[in-house]
Amino acid sequence: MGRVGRKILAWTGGVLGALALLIAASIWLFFVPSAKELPYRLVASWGGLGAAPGQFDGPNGIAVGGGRVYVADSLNHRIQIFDSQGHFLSDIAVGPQGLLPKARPMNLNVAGDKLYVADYWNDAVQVYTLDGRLLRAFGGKTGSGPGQFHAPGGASAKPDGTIVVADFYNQRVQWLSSGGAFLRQVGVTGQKGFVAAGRFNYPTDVAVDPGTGNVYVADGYNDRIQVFDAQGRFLRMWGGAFGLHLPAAINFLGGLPGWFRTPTSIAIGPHGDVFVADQENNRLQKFTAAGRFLTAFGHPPRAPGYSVGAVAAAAGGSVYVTDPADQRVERWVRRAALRAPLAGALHARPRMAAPGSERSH
Amino acid sequence: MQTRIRWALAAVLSAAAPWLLAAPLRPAAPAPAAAKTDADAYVLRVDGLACPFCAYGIEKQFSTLPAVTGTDVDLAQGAVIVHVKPGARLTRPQIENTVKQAGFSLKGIVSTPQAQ
Repeated sequence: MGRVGRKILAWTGGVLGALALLIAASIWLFFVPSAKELPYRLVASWGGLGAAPGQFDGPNGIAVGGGRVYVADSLNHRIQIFDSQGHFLSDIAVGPQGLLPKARPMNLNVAGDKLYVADYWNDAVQVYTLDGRLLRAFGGKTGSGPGQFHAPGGASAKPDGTIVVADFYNQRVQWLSSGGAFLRQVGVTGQKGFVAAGRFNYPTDVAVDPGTGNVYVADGYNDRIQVFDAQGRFLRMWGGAFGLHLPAAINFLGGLPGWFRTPTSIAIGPHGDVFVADQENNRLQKFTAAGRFLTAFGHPPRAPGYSVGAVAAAAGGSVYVTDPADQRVERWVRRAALRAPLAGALHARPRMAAPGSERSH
Repeated sequence: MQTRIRWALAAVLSAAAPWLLAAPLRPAAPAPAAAKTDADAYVLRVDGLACPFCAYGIEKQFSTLPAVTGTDVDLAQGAVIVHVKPGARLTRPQIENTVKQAGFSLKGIVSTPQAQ
């Protein structure tokens, strides 16, 4: 190779290197947000593996309402009801006026004065009063037709009673009337979508903002959140660069603040903030309704598995989280307001709570 | 100082860019051990099992096969243990299709029921 050839090679290498540097720097500067709040603090936990009251085998869903905490105890085929401090009150078991045989309740949501249960195993959605009385049940047979489900991951409702369901294997979100009649859907039935808005890759949960009626969807394997208005029109999405699913990037960048690795549950806080269970990252992330990253918190699992399963936000500000690896429920509270000198220390990685630093019962 | 760290990380990211782009969607799980099973069980290796939704999905799909009596999923190991009725057998296409129906791909059959 001549001198000119070497110069061209060096020049080309330099340009490509600079370009790569520019892209990487752009990702870092534009798609890695700084925390705007301090991480939440773990204050209490309860549970342990077992089938006795207060014990769990696969706590994969949680909801709060009316001063109670509802936990989907999936492999024990029941929903346990606790007071806000974690004292066992009662349960919803399999039975004629309860869960279906072999029920696997997954994400739970309280909307208004009702509890919405997604039964993953029986392809059913059930609606209960907050004291655990069955009101209505839909589905119950695997299907892909309107109003049918194939492993629903989560269900909630708008203030007018319209029910919204994350229909996991059907790759869609369905809107149903309060009586269960099909109204509309977003997503193409049975077809995964990876980049385009309004397409899903195993949607795991939904949350409805009671103020606006907007529907937030945890788009599980697309590692993003999608938001739709009350009529199902796409509004926005986030998680990584523009919320686009970048498979390769997720492996290495998915742990960055504001990015996800398999969001499995979503909840709306009392001020319209959005909490996401970012399961494979073992953390909770908090965003504004517009998707602006606020903070992240969590801890590594003590047993094999993930320490984050599902999330619920109480009116008083507490955040309840299921920890499937350790078979327990945790209560997290917000720390004091962020002061300016602390802001610089909050960038990048979430603070991980030290195991054993909380109160258990 | 923070800006310097950012630029240093950016440089590292740029160096890793080709590797990033060539990476698989989700990391492969380690090969599962075949030991802790009964005589009438298949131990499968399935990639991409990440969450309870995956575990329950694959369990649910296998439950539709008449020969299957139960399924255990070990997420950490990427292992699926399918228990069958004594003497019953599953074919590889049957297993592959069931895993595919659950949204995953079969990476291997680690062990099959022992001959009686």
